Amino acid sequence: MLSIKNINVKYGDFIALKNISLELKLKEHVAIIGPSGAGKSTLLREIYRRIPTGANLIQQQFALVPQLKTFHNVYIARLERYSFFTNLCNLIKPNTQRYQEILTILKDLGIENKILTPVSQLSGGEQQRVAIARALYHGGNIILGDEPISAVDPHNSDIIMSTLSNSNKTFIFSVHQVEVALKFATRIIGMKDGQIFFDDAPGNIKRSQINNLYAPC
Amino acid sequence: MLKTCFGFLLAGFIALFFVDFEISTINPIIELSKIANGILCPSFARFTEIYPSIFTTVAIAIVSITISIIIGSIIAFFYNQWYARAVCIALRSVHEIFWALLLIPIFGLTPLSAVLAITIPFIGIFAKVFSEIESESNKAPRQALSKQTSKLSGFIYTILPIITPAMFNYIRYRFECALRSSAVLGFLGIPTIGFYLETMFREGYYHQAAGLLIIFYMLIFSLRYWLKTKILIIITLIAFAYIFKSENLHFYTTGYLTELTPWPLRSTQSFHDWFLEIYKLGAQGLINTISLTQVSIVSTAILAILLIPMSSIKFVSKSTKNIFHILLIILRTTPELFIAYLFLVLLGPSMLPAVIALTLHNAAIMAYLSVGLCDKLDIPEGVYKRKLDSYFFWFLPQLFGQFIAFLFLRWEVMIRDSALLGIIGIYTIGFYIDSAISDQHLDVALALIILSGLLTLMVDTTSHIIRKRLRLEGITTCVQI
Repeated sequence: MLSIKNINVKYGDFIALKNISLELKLKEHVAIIGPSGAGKSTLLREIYRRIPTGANLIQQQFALVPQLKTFHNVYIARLERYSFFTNLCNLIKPNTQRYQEILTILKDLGIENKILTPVSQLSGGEQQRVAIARALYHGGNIILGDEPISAVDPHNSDIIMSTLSNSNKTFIFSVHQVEVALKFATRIIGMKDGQIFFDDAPGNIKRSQINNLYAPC
Repeated sequence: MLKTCFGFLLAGFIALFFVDFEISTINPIIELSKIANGILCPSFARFTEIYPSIFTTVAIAIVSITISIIIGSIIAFFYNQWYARAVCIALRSVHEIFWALLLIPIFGLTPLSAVLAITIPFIGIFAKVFSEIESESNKAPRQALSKQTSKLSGFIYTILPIITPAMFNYIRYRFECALRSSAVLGFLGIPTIGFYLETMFREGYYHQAAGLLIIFYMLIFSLRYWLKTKILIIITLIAFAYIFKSENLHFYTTGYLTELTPWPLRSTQSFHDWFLEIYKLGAQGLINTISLTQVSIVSTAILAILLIPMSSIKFVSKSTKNIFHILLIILRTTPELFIAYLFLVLLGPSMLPAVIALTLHNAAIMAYLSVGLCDKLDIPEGVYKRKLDSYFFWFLPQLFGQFIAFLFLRWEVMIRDSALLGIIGIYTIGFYIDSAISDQHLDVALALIILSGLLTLMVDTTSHIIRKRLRLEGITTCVQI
């Protein structure tokens, strides 16, 4: 699906990624784990930038429009499919068919009762689920998630991860909770100091490798 | 920052030598008692006669704001282009009063002249502010859009909803400014509140003037109650119908462009003599305008620093705070021109009424904004024994950066306002512009207006550079002063 070779990324004097090479396959569920500042978000963005047909990126900051309702924030994912006037009409009065499509996705994520609530009135966890709903509504084959469950409780994070894993799409996500990576990923990339520390299936990764990943230098 | 402040103090001190403080009225105390009596016993006896002027004032403000929002929003899309910025700077740097002086010969003393005079600079202001609001808004949602999304669809979903609250907030504030400008234009003879106010002051009907001022304040303070979205469309339509009704439209275009052409091109007078005349009038007007501004900015800072503790809950009782709060709002709402005219009647023609007016109005604005910040600060327990010590050694040092930033923004406004005070007989550049128009020397007036615009531009740029150097940029971006 995507092949990356020898990527280097620098922010001023800080080296965020050092000589990264990767091979990503279709339908894989790849978790990127590692301590803060390891380069997880940078790697995700580099992957996002390199996917030629475009992917859906669930951003860490959600990138929602607080003044608009949940419905409109999810609908934004498909703006390019409709004409300006259709979009304008939908902004004024939600189209029934679009409404039903979005309601189905929100049901899976447990926030269907918030469909007509302005996003500014939602909790952090609910906003995160709206951002995920937007990525699912886009309908592409690849979803990238920059810590997609950072703002939700363990119960809801299980619901979200199950929804994303069962969506039959390629799913690449960064995550702090190692248990979530072990449970939902088919491949785990461990990162430290901008480099790949290990890259293997969850069953092949030893506990000591994970401990070393998070151990201070 | 202290060096800059000392520089301003020194400039204010030097400017004192160029400012004339003579009191020329024979008995100012008697006049003062008459004014005080008028303020204490306002009269609404002539309400039936003046109420059309209230309607005209409001209609002018509504129509000007509507047109300038529409055109300003369109220009805001192109504001990153140098030509759009240049046009907006040119429109903004000339005061509404001077635009009116140029437009009255064409459209007469009609509401339409006032509408155009307010609309022209407001277009430049709205274009600049809307573009700033957009550039400072949260860009994450638009960056998350897919690359194929059309610009217009992206705009209505990810930009417009985010910037609308800030835009409405600013429009509400600008509407208040438009109401004040509309009233002030009455001093030129356009039938707004200012027209009656000037007549009442001039003829000594202080009771009626006080009554009319109260109506003006009520109009501004009640904005939040009657300026509702639901009835706004109807109000706007009525205002447009009134401004553009046939008896309000006059055009006197014959020979106008010829009169704007420099006189040497139409006669045998040499360019040298013409330039010399402009130079003499312009230099005198500009020196007076700058001197008045520099003296006033220092007195404004001093008065504001004294007013802050008197209006803050941290230093005075709630009732005292409320009294000063009302006083600050009244002084902030009253246009400098009204205050200056009142003191002109009281003290006679000199720079003194202008200094007092600029100081009172601007200090009230500065204090009003600073008190809001002061009230939010908590004083550490047991450190300061006296309240005054805590003000100078705890509150003021923390407020100072913001205070200076506000002061520099006021500096730009004060230079424009000093210039306009010329129309009531104070010898700033506005006086020479007004005189040139009265003498039908439109070419000279236009040259002087351009000079005044260049001065505003110079101060605007200097203020911007100083704020940037002192890292005060951004502190005041959202403050409407």
